[in-house]
Amino acid sequence: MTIDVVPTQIEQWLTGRVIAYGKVTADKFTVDTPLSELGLDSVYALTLCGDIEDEFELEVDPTIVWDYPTIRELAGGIAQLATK
Amino acid sequence: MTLSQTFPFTGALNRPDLELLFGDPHIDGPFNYAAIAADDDARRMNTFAEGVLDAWGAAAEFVPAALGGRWTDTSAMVTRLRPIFRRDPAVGLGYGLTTLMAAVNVWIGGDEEQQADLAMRLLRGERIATAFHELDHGNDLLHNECTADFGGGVWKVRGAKQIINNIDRAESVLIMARTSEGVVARQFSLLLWHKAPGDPVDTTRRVLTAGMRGCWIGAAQFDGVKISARRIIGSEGNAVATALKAFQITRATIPALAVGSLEAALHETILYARDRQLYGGSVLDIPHARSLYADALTDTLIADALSGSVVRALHLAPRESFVLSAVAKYLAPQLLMDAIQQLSVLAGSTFYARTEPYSILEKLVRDLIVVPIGHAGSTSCLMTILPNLPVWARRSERTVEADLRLFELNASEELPALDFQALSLGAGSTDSLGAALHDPRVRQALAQHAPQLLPLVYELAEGFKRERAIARALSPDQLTAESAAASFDVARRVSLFFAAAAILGSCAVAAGTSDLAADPLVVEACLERVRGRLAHQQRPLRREIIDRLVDHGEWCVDESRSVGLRPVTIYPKARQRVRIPAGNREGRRGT
Repeated sequence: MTIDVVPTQIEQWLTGRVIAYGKVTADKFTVDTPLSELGLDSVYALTLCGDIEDEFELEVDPTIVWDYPTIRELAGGIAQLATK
Repeated sequence: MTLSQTFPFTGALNRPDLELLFGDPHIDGPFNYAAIAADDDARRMNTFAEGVLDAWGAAAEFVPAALGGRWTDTSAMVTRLRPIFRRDPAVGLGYGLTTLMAAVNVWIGGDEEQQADLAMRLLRGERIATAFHELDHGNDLLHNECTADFGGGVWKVRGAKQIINNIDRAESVLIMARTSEGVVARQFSLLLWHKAPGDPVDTTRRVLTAGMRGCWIGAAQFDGVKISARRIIGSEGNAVATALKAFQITRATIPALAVGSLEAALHETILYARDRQLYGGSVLDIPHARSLYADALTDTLIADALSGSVVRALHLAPRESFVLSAVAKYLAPQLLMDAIQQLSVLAGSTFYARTEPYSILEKLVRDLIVVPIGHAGSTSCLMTILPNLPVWARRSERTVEADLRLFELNASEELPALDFQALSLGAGSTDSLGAALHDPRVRQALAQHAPQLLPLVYELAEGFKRERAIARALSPDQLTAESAAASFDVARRVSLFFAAAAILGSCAVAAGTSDLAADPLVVEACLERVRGRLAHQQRPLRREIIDRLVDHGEWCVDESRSVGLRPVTIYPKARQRVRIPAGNREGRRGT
């Protein structure tokens, strides 16, 4: 694990990933913007889940992005999974 | 019908092989090839075959053993059901598979009561239709329009579903309907509708198809059909997640069953080619005909190895099955289609003029065309593989050893029951199948038993490595339905490497035995044909290989053996008589 499993740090990491995908710039969204509004469809959800699995050494089903549709909610979901 | 015995529903042991109950399709009988071709022309199901399947309790094949059925090892289930596909794929689809497609959703997403209720219905011989598809949206399920609104304790379904097998004659229908707004993937629910007289729905319109003509494929127009709140499978909004898991089982199983139809076509081809005299000898003496047969058999064996390993992966590597089942459902039907196409060229005028007694070949060609289209089309399977490629590539790169149990196609021990809850929608954490391309144990087995193949194996393994690097570097915008053809080609090529891995794995575990998968000439043929597909250029197989493959085909015909990697006795001359139960489907509507 390369970063602490603290929601705020996970939010930062997720924000970095979303910017890295190149669909949106940092000034166009917050941690509460639904990912779908950023043009991040199911393909990005799969990519993001793969990244999350590798970064946090977790098994993450892609449905996590359906149920936690913003960066803030997703970070909370990941933190929960990580503490299980 | 002579009464000899009936069979209990449960327990795979001591049940007669369906081959015995159906008998030799070349001699007089109610389910011989002549009857099957006539039924196909009349667009009806073979009532004798359905009666035999009722008596045999075939529906129990689709019910998990824990719920009173016979389903534990899916691979064994495939073996037990292939006799149907060696005769009439339309019976296979119309009698059983369409029910399996619906039932697996309940085994995955239903609660205990729903599962017990459905198990009871199937065990007493009822069918379920799968009403997911809307013609306007194809495999794009997320744009489906059929809706269900909740009020007064019931769901009311409105809208249309098309190309639904058994829609008119099934006792129940599993409907995927839009039940809410919000996150698209959570907008849909699965509703199990048990038909009742007077329901506001029209299911009588039949859709006429070019293949699988005996199936009763139709459309439904729902006009406020009421379904109790208790009949929602899993929770509201769970349809897509459940269906994406359920598809894995059927995507793996369908191509493995369809291999049986090619076994039949290969058998008929040998009979024809020996019988037909041209240019002063039999067709089987003509080098070009022998080459076509060898190519078709090889493609069938590749499909057999791949689909067989992927069926075993459902049990042994369930978290990888999302991608693997899409690979099998993409590539195996393509291989089988190409194989039967080659056989149709070999049969020439006998094929297109439907000359007896070989008219079944023409029907099998039409039926097999449906396999790549129906239930997760080839392109939709590539689109399932595509977005997983970068993650899969990373996992694959760090996998050292394959799971060799995947390749034990002739294992005598049954696999433990399938864990439905272990299926996932991700790329898995390892690459249990693909790793056979570089697994040191596989290399060692080859070095010992078929060292002449090592250069070809190294070439394929290097290609696999390069393809993984390409897959790893794909950016998300190269992974969508709108991506360039080049992205789709990566998914296609990765599928071919999986096929090569399945062949090598099967060879390694069979090494030292008399299994076909251990024969260096057979393995060379399979790897060479995969290499040719990767290069978009097939080289002719060597004469020695062609002779070996044709000899094997002839031996199988003479010995009444199936020609694939899992040899069984087929087409027994004496048919075991069964009592067709009263009240079976004969005379029911649509049969």
